[in-house]
Amino acid sequence: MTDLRRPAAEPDYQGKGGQAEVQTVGFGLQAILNEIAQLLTRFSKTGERGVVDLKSLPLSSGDQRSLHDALGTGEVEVTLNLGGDSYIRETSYHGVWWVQLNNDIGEVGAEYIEVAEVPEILPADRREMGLEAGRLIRNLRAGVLAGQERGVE
Amino acid sequence: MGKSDQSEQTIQDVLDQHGVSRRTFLKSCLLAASAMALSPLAGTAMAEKLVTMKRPSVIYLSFQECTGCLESLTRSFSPTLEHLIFNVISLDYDDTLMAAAGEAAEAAKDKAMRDNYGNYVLVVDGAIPLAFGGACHTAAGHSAIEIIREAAKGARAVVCVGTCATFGGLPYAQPNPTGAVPVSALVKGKPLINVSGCPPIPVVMAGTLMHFFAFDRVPELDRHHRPRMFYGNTIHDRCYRRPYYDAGKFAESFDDDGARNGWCLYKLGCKGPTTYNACATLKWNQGVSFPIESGHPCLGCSQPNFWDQGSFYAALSTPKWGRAGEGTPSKAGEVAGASAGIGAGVGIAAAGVSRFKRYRRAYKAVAGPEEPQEKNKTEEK
Repeated sequence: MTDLRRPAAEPDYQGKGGQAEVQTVGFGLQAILNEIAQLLTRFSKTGERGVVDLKSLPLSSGDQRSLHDALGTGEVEVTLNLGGDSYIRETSYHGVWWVQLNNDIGEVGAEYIEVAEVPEILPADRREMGLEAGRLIRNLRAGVLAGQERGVE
Repeated sequence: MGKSDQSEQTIQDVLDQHGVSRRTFLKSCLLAASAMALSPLAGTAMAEKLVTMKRPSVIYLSFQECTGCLESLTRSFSPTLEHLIFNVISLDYDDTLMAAAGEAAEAAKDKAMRDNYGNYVLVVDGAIPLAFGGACHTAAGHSAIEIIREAAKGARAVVCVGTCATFGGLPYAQPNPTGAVPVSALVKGKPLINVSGCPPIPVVMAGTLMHFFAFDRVPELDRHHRPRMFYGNTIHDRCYRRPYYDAGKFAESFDDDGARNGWCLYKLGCKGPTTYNACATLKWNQGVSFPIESGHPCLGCSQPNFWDQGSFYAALSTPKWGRAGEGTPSKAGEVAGASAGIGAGVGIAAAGVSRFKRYRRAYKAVAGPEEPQEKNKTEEK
């Protein structure tokens, strides 16, 4: 498993070279990268998100590292605090996200590449936002937050 | 936030009540999908379907068992899929977990069965004793035979958890004094899913139920009615010590260099090559390890008749003429003792045959002409 907590080795490229980079990786990785390229193309045309499940592929840790290096590191990194820390990192290809969901003790439970504007798990839920607005208003009315405000001042 | 009538609650209502966010629920479904070797897209689909559903009614019956299966399901850390499943389902009856007892508990079960007739899922834990007219297990004045038959009538599906319910387990082991049989011997004409193991892995139990609820169908099953997604490979197939087996490197005892170096435990009795389960991939205690990783051979607990397969510590290649818990003599000096053992064994076997005939008569009287599964049938790879 690729440890997304560690900064990846500085890639020699930032995803701008295209085909030349693909030729440097092994046959199995080329297939994965080709699939990602197809998913990117499809998303740009139809908006349909795509996923490559890394856990279901027979990848060694070396293969995963090679894939990680081939995709590079992008502009966004997210830590999810949901029953153990999970990590999402945009690769150097915009819209290609490396998602690693861990269990309570940090073991990787699910790991996949997601091709989308934003990974499915990230956006806040609009219905929940309505509930949270109610909670915030109730807390304000009850003066729950008053003490905290004074602390800030 | 939630509806006052619990029977009308959707899963979303319950998640709101427990403060489970969309992200947390989606993560659980994604982890479940991964455990089931399904695509993350299936995990998303599961989450979307489940939140709109009314909480499915589950009736959990326990018979001849040790409660280890329920312990396995409940003694998990949170928040996990196993924890979440209790929020997703409406557990309308479980005599171990529910606060009610006696008539109140029975009334709750009757009401749940009546209100959800044809829709509830019946989870069964434990073997069913047939001997003595079923007198070995009674509750509220009814034998286990009557209880399971009554409960199965209105069930949408029956999920057997643990090796006792699926294959008879310890109660079914020789000499089987109570005439115990697996649930499949009594429940006919209903979708039946076996989740074997002593106990089963928590995520396997929870994942099987989640799959059934989310996709509204029984998952693909193997010839023992077990979900292929969890029981499709042997422990040996996925064992991290497999390369040592292939290289012919074996631990010969529990304290030799081979054991210390993590070599294959085949010669110490590992039943991994004939045992279908997901221990090597899903592991136990939140993914900490599994028996082989802790230095102990696999006992084969998810296979039929695992108690009657000879010693736990005899290699699979050893002829099986002993009984569970006894070693197989490997030295010349032990042969004499073994011969004496054979004499005693003949006597025990004669008693066993007599007992088996009695049990068979009892079985026919209760279950009809069909035979329970044949004993000592070995698993074919």
